[in-house]
Amino acid sequence: MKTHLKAIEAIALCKSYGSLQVLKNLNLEVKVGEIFGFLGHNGAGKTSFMKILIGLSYPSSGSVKLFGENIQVKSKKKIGFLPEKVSIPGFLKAIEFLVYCARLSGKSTREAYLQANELIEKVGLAEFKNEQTTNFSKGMLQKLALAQCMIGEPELLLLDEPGSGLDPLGTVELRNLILEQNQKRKVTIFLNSHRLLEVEKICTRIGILQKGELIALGAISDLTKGKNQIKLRLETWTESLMNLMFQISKEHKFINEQEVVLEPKEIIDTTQIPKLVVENGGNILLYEKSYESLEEIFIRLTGGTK
Amino acid sequence: MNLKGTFVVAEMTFQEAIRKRFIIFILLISSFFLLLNLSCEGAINVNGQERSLMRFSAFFFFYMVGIWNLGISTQITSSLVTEELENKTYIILLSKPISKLNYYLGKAFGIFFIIIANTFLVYFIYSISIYIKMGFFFFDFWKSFFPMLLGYALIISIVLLLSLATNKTVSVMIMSGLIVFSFIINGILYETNVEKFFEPAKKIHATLKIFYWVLPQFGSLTFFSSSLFESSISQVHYLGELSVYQISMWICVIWLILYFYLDRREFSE
Repeated sequence: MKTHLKAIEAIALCKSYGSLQVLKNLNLEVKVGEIFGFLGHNGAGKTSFMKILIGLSYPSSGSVKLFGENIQVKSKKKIGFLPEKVSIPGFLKAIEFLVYCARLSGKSTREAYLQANELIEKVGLAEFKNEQTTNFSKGMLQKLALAQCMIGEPELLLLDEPGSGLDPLGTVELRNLILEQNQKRKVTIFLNSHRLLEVEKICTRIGILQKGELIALGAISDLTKGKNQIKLRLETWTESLMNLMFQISKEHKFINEQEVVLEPKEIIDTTQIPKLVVENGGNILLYEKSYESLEEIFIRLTGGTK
Repeated sequence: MNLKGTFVVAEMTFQEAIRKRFIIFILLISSFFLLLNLSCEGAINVNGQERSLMRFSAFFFFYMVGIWNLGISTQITSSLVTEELENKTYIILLSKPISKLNYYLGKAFGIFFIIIANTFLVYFIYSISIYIKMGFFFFDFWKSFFPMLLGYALIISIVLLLSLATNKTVSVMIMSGLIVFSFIINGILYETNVEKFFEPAKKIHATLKIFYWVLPQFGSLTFFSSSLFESSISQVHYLGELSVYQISMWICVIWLILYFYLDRREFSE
């Protein structure tokens, strides 16, 4: 059987609604088994891209492939989709909804019930399984929708703003569930999110979309490269320590008499800095490596504007 | 074609419809027709011939149920489809491995089963009641019922297309207008009783005939079905059989349009 290394592949993808161009020449690859975070302001084109992936919308030009194949009905067997706004037919009970989804995924009624019961327990809604979904809170609906997207053990989970409406405990549970799917079954996760802290915690790579254009793509550590800073507080700064600082830093700024924030030169192995300081007679009170947070990266790259 | 998926959708649509409150209203009206007809006894004089009032009321009952079904086919289809579009409950379902065509075919089948179930229920109760009262089974309904099914199928298909392309009000208005117009036009052109009171000018008559042959012949189909049921009361509609073919052709045309429409239709979240 042919295995594909790319779960998602968008080539020169464009999408327009009338004169409004929501995706502009998008080139993106998501590898099998990775957790990919797709970031962007509201209206950046993230949901439009996801709609194309599930076949609810079509590209204006360019192409998208899932596991090396064009998007078609059978390719949807490999995906589980969690929409941003969860809307479930009100006439159904929670368990009936999952059974319905499982049967649409090709399961027999018996198999559908078995899997529905298993999944509803997994997301912690077992005690509400015979309740009408119209009585469910936003968080409960999110959990139920998460259960349905795991039906049929999909190879790719498309999560649009997962966790919106969940309390802190629910957020942790969701994160663990996503990680479990990824680690145990090597499921590829593609998530659209505004929750940068969550993305930072679980994603192996991110892409930032602005006004339909992909403005950044890579691992978070790659995007922060060259932005590493070190905060160093010494009891006293002698001449040799000052010389050392000039040797190792590209830029520096004293915050007070004892404390300096410096950006080390690329050739310097930052793990050696404390040792060098001590060898030059320095007494270290604080040594702190600070990285740009994802939020800072996001604001820097998008210019803080939509 | 994922027919398994289509029948899952049909089953769930059927369940959705029977869990709605309006189903009680539908059954109440159907029961009212039933009650009205079961209370008829005695004889009636038609063109000098003594005829059982039971047969006459059964004929009337057939018409009432037939026309009532035309109405509820329109109403249920537009309600279920537009409600789903407004609530966006289709998003998760269409992310499953089922095509949009299969999905909406399933919806149409589900609604069709509702109409069949409603009709079967009232006809069955009526037949049993007649058996208890008269000591024989009355099968005439059933043979007339089958051509009518085509009419219901076409209404469901047209309303489905209109509801997807426009909105509930527009789809109900157009469909109701089409049904009423079809009945009126059929009466003007082919009912001798109507001709006595209203005889249009030749040009108008010709124009109406063009409309009649192009538009779906719901009226003609109903009259044809009734002639199968009781030809001596209804006049024989020689053109009636053609309405069956015409309606069948219309069903194919509508689903062909739906095929191309759904293939390009984008569903927004």
